[in-house]
Amino acid sequence: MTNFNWYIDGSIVIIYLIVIISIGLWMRRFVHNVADYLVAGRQVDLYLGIASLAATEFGIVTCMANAELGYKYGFAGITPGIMFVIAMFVVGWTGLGIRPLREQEAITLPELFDKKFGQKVRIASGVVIVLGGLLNMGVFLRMAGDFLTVVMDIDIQYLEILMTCLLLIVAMYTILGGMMSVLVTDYFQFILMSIGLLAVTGICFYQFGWENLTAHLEATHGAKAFNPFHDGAYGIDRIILDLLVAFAAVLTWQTMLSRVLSAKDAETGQKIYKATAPFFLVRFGIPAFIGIAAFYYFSQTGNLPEKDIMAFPHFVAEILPVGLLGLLIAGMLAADMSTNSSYLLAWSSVIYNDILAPFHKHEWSAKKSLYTNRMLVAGIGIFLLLYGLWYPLKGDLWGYLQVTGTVYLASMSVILLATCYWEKANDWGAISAIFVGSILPISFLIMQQLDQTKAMAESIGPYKSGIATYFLTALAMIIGSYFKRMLKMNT
Amino acid sequence: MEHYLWFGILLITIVWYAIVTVLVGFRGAADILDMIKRLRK
Repeated sequence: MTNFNWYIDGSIVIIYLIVIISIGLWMRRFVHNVADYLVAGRQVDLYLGIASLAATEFGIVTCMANAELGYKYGFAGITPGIMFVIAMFVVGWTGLGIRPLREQEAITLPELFDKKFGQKVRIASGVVIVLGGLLNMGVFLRMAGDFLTVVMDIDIQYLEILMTCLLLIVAMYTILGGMMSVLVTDYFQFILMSIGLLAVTGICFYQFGWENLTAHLEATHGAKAFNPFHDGAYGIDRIILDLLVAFAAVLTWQTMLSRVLSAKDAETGQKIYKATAPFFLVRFGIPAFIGIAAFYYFSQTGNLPEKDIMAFPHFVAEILPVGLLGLLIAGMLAADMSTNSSYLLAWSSVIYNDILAPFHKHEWSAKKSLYTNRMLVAGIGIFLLLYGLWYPLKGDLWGYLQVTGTVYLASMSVILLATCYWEKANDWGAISAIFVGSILPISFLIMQQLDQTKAMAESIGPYKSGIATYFLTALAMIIGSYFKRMLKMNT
Repeated sequence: MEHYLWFGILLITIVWYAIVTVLVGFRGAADILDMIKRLRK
């Protein structure tokens, strides 16, 4: 059941799409070379940087995943958000990793690694970043499609068509306008998404009341809904992994870093991080609160959705009035489009800068470079469409995002810290870290899918596997580096 | 007790978000115009 009205809500969504596509396409006139295309000519100032980073890091997937955390764990589900706030603020305040990166004027992380460890590490890092990033982004389209089919009451058989249309719109302005279009559309998307989210939160407070929501949580989950450390509800493993993922993502996630790299100087880059830190509480807190309200609402109606992840779309479709529902859908589309466009650009920039460019002996002309980047964005779009269609999601969505993110987060964060702060680090250590950091999470994903190993994967769990990956990757970096030094000394 | 702690966290988050939305709305627009002006040069 949905309150969606095709005339009123549908018009709001269509007007939004027309406006955003026009702005995105208009910005292409300012793109003259690869620096304009990938890092907006390094002209980004503080407030635009905040809007863009915040819009990028909030999509339909994030909203559904974090609402699922609130729906399942209550307020304890906000824990990853708190970890992100801490990580973002510490990194922004100290400049840990990001300051040297911006000062070196690199376009991507592997470009910085090249200076210390050589080209092999740069290429290997590029491959791992793209692999982890694409696997992570692979579920975005399907989740957005699932959300839209529920809230707009569209038959599930049109899911693929819907996903394709969504991707085509985003790809169109990203291919043509690159970071210029992404930044400006991000700005409008941030405003719309914020209005939509604040309105839904207000309605939840007004309609259900704080006392009712907390009393219901207390009755069903007990104290563990309010305290992640209580009775192993949320789990210490998960809390440790949340903290590790938060620091690693803040240090190395290409879509976050690209805002620092696009900033006009290192100081502005750090300011963007510090000022965006509290947004991560918004990113987790507001959807989790909506998830809590959904849990209360469905418990009262007795009509619990089959999958926890679908609680958010079913809930908003049923409680929001006509007009506001259209606004929220436009806001969610905005959030999703800004995420997809930034991600498309981030991974294509790594493929171009760190996988293709090192093999090319002569410098490409500006025209050819732009053409190559545009083709890469289109290619990634096609991959996402195919992957999104066939990959069946197992376990909870946030768990999947953490495992796939770990494919590159573990090794890249270890290598970044070693590049900046450990003189003895060398290419053997870096290659060992990349190997261990990527092979462990990929093995875990495969184990989850195979019938023979499914039980074993369940007994280990994604959190222990994730934590082990971070520690073993750091160990591989240390052992690999010392091993090379020992061999050198002996010869 | 924890109820009030979460209420406080949520309230601060919402108020901060509303203020930032308005601030970024105005200052972000100025940043865009400024960026376009610099790129035109």
